[in-house]
Amino acid sequence: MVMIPELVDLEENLDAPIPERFQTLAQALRDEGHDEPQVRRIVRAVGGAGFNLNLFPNVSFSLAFFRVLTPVSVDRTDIRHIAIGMDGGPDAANRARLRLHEHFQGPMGFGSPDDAEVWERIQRGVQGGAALPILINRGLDDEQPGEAGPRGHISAETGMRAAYDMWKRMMQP
Amino acid sequence: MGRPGLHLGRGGYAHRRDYEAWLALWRDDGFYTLPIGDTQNFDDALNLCHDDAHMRRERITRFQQGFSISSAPPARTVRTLSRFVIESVDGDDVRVRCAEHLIEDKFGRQRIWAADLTYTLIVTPGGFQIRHKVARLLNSDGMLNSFSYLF
Repeated sequence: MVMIPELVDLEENLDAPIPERFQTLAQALRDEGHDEPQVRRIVRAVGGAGFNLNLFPNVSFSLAFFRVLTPVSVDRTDIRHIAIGMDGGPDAANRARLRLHEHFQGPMGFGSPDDAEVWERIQRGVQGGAALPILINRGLDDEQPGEAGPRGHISAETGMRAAYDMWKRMMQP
Repeated sequence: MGRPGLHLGRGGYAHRRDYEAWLALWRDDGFYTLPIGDTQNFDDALNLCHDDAHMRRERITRFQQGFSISSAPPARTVRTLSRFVIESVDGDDVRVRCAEHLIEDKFGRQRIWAADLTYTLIVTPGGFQIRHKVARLLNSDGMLNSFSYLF
């Protein structure tokens, strides 16, 4: 799922201007003695990739973190967010990664609380009528064929359909 | 008379969701921190939040805009601060700790939270300002999902 196409390959266009929100970090790295190409690579690494990657069946990767989903029972799933830093990397850069993680993840983050709210609503929803179909058809109308499977808009449920297809295949004899 | 601006019931701002008044309590270089476990070096550790002035403003904007499904509508909360202890007074620098009990109510479910709070306050001509507030939840390293309010 690509959100920022220019950040798919972090080594590309390293000459592009450093975003305003990373200017302070870039200066801190220069002050530590890193040369300009290295400063730019570290800043890119701190910001993370411009895409999310979901690994079947239960790991997703985005920006600065892993999310691991562990099914516990039919109505309970444990979800763990793991912050990722650079082993031996500059302290200033790893601090920036931690602040990015806190910005999105955890109960005070700006992202995962909304995800948690949705998960809870799904739990309530699936306890409704057993005969009611669960629709995951969003984006079916304009999906394009791709090399490794269909490709859809970022807001499409293409990935969910792929995960359920795979699950069904694995659960059948 | 006490110093102007000293409101031990600071929780009142958060309770009434008077977030502009809450933002005005802080020094520009202040931090609002919910650590995990017994972390002391907040800068180099993962916290639940570790907000500078920019992040505090962003957090309040998120609460106010209504685009976040977890905070619109927010839980309703009742909180009590008690067991105040003035730990130290060093010139204009005052450290106060207390206990916070918070009960949230949302969608017919109530949850209870307890936290130890530590304030580092600075005396200014206009009253106290917060330089650092640490809210250490009793279960900060436990299973947590979503807070739609401030501690």
